[in-house]
Amino acid sequence: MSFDWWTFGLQTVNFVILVWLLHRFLYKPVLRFVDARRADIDKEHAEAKRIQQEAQSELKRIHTARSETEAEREAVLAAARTEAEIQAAARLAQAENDAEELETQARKSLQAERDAAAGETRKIALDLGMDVARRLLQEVPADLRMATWLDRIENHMNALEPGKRDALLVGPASTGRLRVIGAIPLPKASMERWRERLIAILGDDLEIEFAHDPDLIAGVELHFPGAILHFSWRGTLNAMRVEMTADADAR
Amino acid sequence: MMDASPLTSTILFHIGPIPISQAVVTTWGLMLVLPLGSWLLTRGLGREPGRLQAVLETVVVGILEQISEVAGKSARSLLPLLATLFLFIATANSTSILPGMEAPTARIETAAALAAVVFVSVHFYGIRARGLLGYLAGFAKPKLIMLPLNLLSEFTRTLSLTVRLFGNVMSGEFMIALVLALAGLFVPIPLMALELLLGLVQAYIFTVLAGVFIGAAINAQQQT
Repeated sequence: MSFDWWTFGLQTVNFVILVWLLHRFLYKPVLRFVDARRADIDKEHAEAKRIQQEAQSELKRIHTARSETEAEREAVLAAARTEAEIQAAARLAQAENDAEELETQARKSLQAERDAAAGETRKIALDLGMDVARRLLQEVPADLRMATWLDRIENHMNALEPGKRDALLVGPASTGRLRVIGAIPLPKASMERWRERLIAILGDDLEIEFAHDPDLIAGVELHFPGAILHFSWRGTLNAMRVEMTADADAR
Repeated sequence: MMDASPLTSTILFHIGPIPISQAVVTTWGLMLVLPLGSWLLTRGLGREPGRLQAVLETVVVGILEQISEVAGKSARSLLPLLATLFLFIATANSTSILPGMEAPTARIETAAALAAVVFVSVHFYGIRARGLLGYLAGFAKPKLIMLPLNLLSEFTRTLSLTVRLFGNVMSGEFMIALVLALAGLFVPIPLMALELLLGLVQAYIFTVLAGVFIGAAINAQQQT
């Protein structure tokens, strides 16, 4: 066995050259593309990771937004519920007040109608009574009907204090004039009797004239210069009407 | 075909005083074919790999991953050396099946040259990684008494690399030549197929051992 050092040296150099050649023509180009592809993959991986992180962030943000929206919805619902309860209570109270007011007004209206109806009934009754009285009085003779009133006038005048009785005769014109208005026209004889008896009470310087007014129903009215004395049913009935109206209003 | 002793180199011609053996010529042939083939194959590489590019990338990346397993992070810088070792030994071993050719690795000079390159590379990468003093100090570990043995092992493992490769390839060729001489033309074909497989195995073993040695030199502190 021999060892050829030339061959050893040449093979060593050959191998080193082959290392360089393969590095230049094989490993470098292949690794360049492998590295480029790996860089692309890493880049895409990084991009995918970034997108994934963005998606996770977005998902987190959506979850947060959803939670906030849910909380806001709950708050709005609670506020709306509270507001609705307040408004319902207010409307219920308002409705109760309105109902109560309507009831009161209805009661008042009913009462007013009832009062009006009662007043109307009273008026009708008074009118009816006056009508009845007027018809009945027509059955009574005129002298008799007026005589009663003359007695009553005498009693009233006599009951007056002298000062007041004198005051009746003093008017703006300072004339002693008396106008006697009866419900019916007095016959002449009755007129004389009336004049005599009135002069006997009031004095002879009194000028008396007679007239009649059917609305008085019965009785007379004495028109003095300073006052009017009512001795008729119209006056009595009017007084009654006033009293009844006042009484109804008071009720 | 071995027309002389398998233990001696066949000198084909001389360039001046330099004898050019058949192993050297075959190596030159490989030096022409391998880079040229690589150039042709890598000429049309693109971002979207075709079938051929995929195979090429698989081979290179596969070798790189194998180196990474034995040499760790330094695999990228070791790729040219170790991948060339594997490709050269594998193709050199395969040349024996061609008529009239003999594998360069069946000659002890070639195996010794490859082992010598590994020997130098081990120290080169070890010093580069750890510094001269740090690397030399590694020979005295774990104890100073281990220094002679560690130094001796540096040479013995280089010798073992040489002899293992040379012995296996040369014996394979010798066996095929003997069977061919005794039994006829087609009888050694199974043996030749086996020799191809053994050639790949030897290339793998040589490359892995070289990677382990260099990796140990680079990462001695982690390993000790």
